[in-house]
Amino acid sequence: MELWTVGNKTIMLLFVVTATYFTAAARDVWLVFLFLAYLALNLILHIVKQARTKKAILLAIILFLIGCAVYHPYFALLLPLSFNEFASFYPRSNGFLLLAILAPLMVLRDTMMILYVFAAALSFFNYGMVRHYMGRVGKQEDELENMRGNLQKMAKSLNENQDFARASEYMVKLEERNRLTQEIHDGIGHAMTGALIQMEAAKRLLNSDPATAETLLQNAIGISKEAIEEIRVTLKNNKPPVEQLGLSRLKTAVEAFSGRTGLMTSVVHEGNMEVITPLQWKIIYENVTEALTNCAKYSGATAVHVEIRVLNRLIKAVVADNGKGAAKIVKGLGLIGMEERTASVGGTVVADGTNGFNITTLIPYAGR
Amino acid sequence: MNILDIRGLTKKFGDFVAVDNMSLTIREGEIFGFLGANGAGKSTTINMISSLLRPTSGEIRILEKDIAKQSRFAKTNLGIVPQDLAIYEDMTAYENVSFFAGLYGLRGDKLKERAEEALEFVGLSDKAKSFPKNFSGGMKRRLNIACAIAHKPKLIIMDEPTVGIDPQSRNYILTSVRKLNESGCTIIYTSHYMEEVEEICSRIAIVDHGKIIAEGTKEQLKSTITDVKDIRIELKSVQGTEGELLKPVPGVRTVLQEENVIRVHSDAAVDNLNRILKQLMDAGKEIRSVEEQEPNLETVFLTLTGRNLRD
Repeated sequence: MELWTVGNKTIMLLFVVTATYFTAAARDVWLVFLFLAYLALNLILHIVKQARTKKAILLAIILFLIGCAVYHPYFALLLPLSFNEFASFYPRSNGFLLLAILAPLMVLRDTMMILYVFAAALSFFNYGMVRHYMGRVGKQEDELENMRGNLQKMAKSLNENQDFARASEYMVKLEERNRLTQEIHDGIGHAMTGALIQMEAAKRLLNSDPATAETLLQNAIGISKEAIEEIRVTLKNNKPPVEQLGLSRLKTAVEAFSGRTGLMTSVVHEGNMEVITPLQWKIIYENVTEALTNCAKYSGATAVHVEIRVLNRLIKAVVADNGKGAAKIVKGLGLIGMEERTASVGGTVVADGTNGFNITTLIPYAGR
Repeated sequence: MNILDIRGLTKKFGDFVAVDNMSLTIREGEIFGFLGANGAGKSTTINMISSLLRPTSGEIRILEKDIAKQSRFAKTNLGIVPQDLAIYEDMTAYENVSFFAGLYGLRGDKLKERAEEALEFVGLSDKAKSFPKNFSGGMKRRLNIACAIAHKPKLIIMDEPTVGIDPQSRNYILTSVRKLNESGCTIIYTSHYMEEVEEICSRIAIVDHGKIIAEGTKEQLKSTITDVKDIRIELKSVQGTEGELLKPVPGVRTVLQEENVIRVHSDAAVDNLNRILKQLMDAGKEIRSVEEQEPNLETVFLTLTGRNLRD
C-alpha cells in the first residue's frame, strides 16, 4: 500500500508540476514554495508512526491543498490521493470517500473539472483495487502463518514419534540381548560349569583312582558336546532365514507406505519363498516400492494389493491398485528403471492399466 | 537355419509403446504361435515383419537378411494372410489368386499352374469361376489363404485367420496350416484362441503389452506355472488304503481323500494315469469317474498376467 501511494503521488505531482510550469504566464516563486511545502508535509507523513498523528497530518495536507487550489487550481488534482490515503484508515468507507473526492467538483470549472474527474476516477479505482488485493494478501498471510504453526507442531510430533520408535527399537534390542544372555547363562553357562567341576575332580583323582577319573572325564566330554550342540541350536534359532528377512522387509515397507498415505494395503505370498535369492529380493523390493510410489502419486486408488508368488519356474511379484488405471501407458523413468533392474536377472515387467493399475514383475529362477 | 530373427524390436505410436524391445527367433519348420489378448501388440509385430510398418528401433531378419535392406528378398519369401480380408469381391476366385501371385512376379503358365494349385489346396477349385461376394465367411478366409500361398513362400504369417468363421471352415483352416507346415513352410500363427494355438503350434510366445512374457513349447510354458497335475478319481467307496496303493506308481506325489473321491497330485511330465487306474482296479475298486486337471495355456496366461485372454 505504502509503495503504491508514494508512486501514485509522485506521478501525479510530476504531472501537476509540469502542467503548472507550462501554464503559468511568468515565473512564480510561490508555486515552487508550495510544492516544496507539499513534499515536506508528505515526508513528515512517512516519518511519524502513530496513526492519530498520521491522520492529523493528512488532514493538514488536505487543508493545505485546498488552500493551494485557491491560489492555483492544479493543486486540486493532488487532493484525491490524500483523500484515499485518509480513507485507508477506515475500512468500508468507500462511499464517503467517493463523496469527499467529488466535492471539489463544485468549485472547479472547464478543463480543470475534466482533468479532476479523470484523476479522481483513476486514483479511486486504483485505490479500490489495491485495497481489495491487499485484503486478500493479508488473509493469505494469516493462513500461511497458521500453516507454518501447524507444520511446526507436526514436525515436533513426528520427531517425538521417531524418538519413540528409536526408543522402542532399542528396547527390543535390549530385550533380545537379555534373552540371549539368559539363554547362554541358563544352558551353556551351567553346562560349562558342570563340565569344569568334573574335570577338576578328575584331575585330582587321576593318580589315585584312574577309573573314576576316566568316568568323570567322559561325563565332562559329554556335557561339552551337548553344550556345543546347544550353542549351535541357539545361534540357528536366532539367525533369521533369508526369506523371512526379505518378506518382512517388504511387509514393513508396505505397511510404512500405508501409514504414510492412508491407502489400504495387503501383502499376500504363496509358494516356497526360500528359492528367492537376496538379489532377487532386492529387485522385487525396489520394484514394489517404486510401484507403490507411483500408485500414491497418480492412481487415485484407495487400496493396493501386493502379491508375491513362487511358481514352478517363475517368481511373480504384483502390485495392483483399484485406481483409475491408464488406457495407454506412457513409460516414465520409474517404469524404465524397473524394467532395467528386472532385465538384469532375465526377467520382465508388465504394466497394465485396464483395471486399476497393475505392475507385474516376472523373474525366472533355476528351479529345484 | 533361422527363418526369422527379431532383435530389440520396438514400435512407438507417439508416447505409446505398442511393441517393447521384443527379441525372437523362429527356426525353419516351426508353427510358431503368438498368443495374447487384443491390443497386446501381435498385429503391430506382424505388420512390421511384413514391412507394412516401419519399426521405431530394432532389426528384423528373414532368412538372415535384414528386411530393411533387402526388402524384395524378404517379400518374395513371405506370405501374409491378414486379419482383415484382402480380396476383391468383383473378381473371380481364380482372378484374385492370380492377381496376387502376379504381384510376386509369377507369369504365364507358371502363374496359371500355381494359382490352380493354391485354389485346390484350400478346396476352392470348383469355385474358381465364382465371385467371392457370394462366398461364406469361411470360404473367403480360405481364398485369402490361397492368395497368400500361390507364390510358395517359405514363411507364412497368419494373423487371426479363424476370427468369425464357422467351426467347419475353422477345422479346414487348421488342417491346411498343418499341411502347409508338412510341405516345408514355416508358419507364424497369431490368435487369441488358446485352444487353437495349443493344438497346432510347436512353439508359443505369450505376448502382453508389447512384450514376450513367456516363450517355449506348450509343455515348457505350463511347467513355468506348475509341474503338478491334479487327478480326481471318484470311487464307489473309499477305504483309506488307496494312498498306500498308489504311492509306488511313478510320478505320484500325494494322495488326498475327500469323501469318496481321491485326489492324486502327480508330476505333469509323467504319463501315469493308466498305471494309477490299473492299480485301483487290480485292488477291486469300482471307479465311477476320472477327471484330470492339467494347467492349460489359459491358466498360464491368467497366472502370469492376472487377466483373461478374452474379456
